[in-house]
Amino acid sequence: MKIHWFSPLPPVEVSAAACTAAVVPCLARTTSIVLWTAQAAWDPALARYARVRKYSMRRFPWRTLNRGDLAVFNLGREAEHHGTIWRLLQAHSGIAVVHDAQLHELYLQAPHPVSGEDPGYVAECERFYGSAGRLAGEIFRGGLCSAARMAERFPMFEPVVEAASGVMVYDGALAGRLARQTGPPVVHVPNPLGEGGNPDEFVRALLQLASAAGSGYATSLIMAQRIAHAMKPIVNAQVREAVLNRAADAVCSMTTRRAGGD
Amino acid sequence: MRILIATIKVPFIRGGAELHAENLQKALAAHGHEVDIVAAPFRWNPPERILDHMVTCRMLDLTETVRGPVDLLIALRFPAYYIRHPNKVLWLLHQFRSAYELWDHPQVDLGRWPNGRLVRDAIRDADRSLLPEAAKIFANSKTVAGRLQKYCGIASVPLYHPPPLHDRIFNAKATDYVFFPSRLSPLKRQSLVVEALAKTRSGVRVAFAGEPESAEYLEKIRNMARRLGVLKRILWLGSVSNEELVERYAKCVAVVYPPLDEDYGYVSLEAMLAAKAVITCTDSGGPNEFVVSGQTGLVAPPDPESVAQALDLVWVDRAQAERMGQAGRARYDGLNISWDRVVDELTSPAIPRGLTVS
Repeated sequence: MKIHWFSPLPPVEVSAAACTAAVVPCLARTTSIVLWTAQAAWDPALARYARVRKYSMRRFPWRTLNRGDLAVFNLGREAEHHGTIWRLLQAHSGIAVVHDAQLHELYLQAPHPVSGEDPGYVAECERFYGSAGRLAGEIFRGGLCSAARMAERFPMFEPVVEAASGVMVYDGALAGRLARQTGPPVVHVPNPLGEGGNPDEFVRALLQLASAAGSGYATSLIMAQRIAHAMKPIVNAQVREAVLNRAADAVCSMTTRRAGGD
Repeated sequence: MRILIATIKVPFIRGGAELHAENLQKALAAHGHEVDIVAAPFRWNPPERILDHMVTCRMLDLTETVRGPVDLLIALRFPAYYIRHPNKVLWLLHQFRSAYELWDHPQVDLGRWPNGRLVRDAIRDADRSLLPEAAKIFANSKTVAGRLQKYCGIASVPLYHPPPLHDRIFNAKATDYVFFPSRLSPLKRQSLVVEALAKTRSGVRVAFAGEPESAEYLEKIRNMARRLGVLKRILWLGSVSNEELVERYAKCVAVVYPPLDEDYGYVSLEAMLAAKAVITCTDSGGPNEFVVSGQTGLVAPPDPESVAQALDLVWVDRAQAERMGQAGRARYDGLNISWDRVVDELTSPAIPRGLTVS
């Protein structure tokens, strides 16, 4: 099994980098790993377990990524270290390992998407948090509310992991909340570096999630987004809903069986 | 019966698939059926467009038209075969090959897109889920049937049809060229024949007929021929009329046709109809269903040295080439390839699942 792993790497001092350093040696026992990084320097000890490849967002070798079996994207709140990783996840679905319980800062400060339109902050606040989210987003944009306050109320977790085929989180309550939504499959696993966690358990959970998740959810999401975009000009809500329902039936019939690759 | 043929149309492109649907329409009409072709527009770049077309086709239900109920839907191509109909028969020309056997091919660009793998998986998933809903599944060839079984685990019955010029092809005395009629494309591997020419010992000449897929590819193989010193032994005919095509078949020494994993391969059947030996390759797919190496032609490993040996053999031993050509014609006649048979198979009532179709 070939895994493409996206994460900040040591010596960068963020949780995802430490987790990667701990998990990769275990994962390398049964898989072949490519560590992708945009950093200028990284801990050379990692090369004992994985091939380290540098990438540039502008010319990413998608064919190489497409030939792998699994892509894993490590995400945290720091946009400086996770911004490009999130944008890659949006372009190429895979498992998201999320190291923080709120991703507001990441959402606000990440670079532009690789492709497609950016729906805009306020629109996304409304999509995930309703009219309260829209109002708060507008207030924030008007400079009347702090980012920290917004992050507390609206963690922006959902839009960040929306494109993932599966999500791993360390917070059980968060996993439970996400599992009740119509997003990708979610699993809760203890932080491998924290109390009660260990890298082997993390690897087991990751591989189980990858096997269960497939690409069915991500495909349905893309289809649904494209249909919704195409139907936007239909003003009559009832007509729009009827068409969307028919489209949803069509999508369901095509993606009921989750693809597992080759 | 009122029958609809479901296929796709890439706007402004007309090729063998369009002709195939039209020939099927004529054959069905000749048997007294009321037939029309429904072609869904198709575009494959960027790959998310493919998902749009899949959903669009799936949303169509062609059970009824303004003329009344449709008795039978014959689906030929991805994603038109997702269209809903209670009596759908699939006669698969091929699946979306970039998502299957050509996924790793360097000339195929689905894998170069960020979402390429996801779209590939979506296509495979939908094929596995939706193709079995057809009442009967036929494939254009054993090669296509084999791929459907290998990648999707779905059984199908190969159903051959005559090549478009089957009733116009004739045989004449061989002159001084080996013929390679096909679109100039990396998948057809004209470059392999150019490389082989450089390794021949007999001075064999090859005539290429067909439009180039791109100016770059034509330039590439011309430069290769120049570099290898075989330019003077190649005749570049470009696109030819049907009249010239059948005449070229008739007067060639043999036909060389070494594509990579071809679905069916009209060229090999047309060569057999013209009583000409066929040189093809072990990995050429469809042609291998018809060419019997040493009897009706030569099947070489896909390397220049081996293809060169085959070219030398037919060039030097004309009597042997002629014998193989005649054997090819006899083999074609014995295959019972006809539109009548195609129509019978496609329109006969479906046998309930679980019973064998032979």
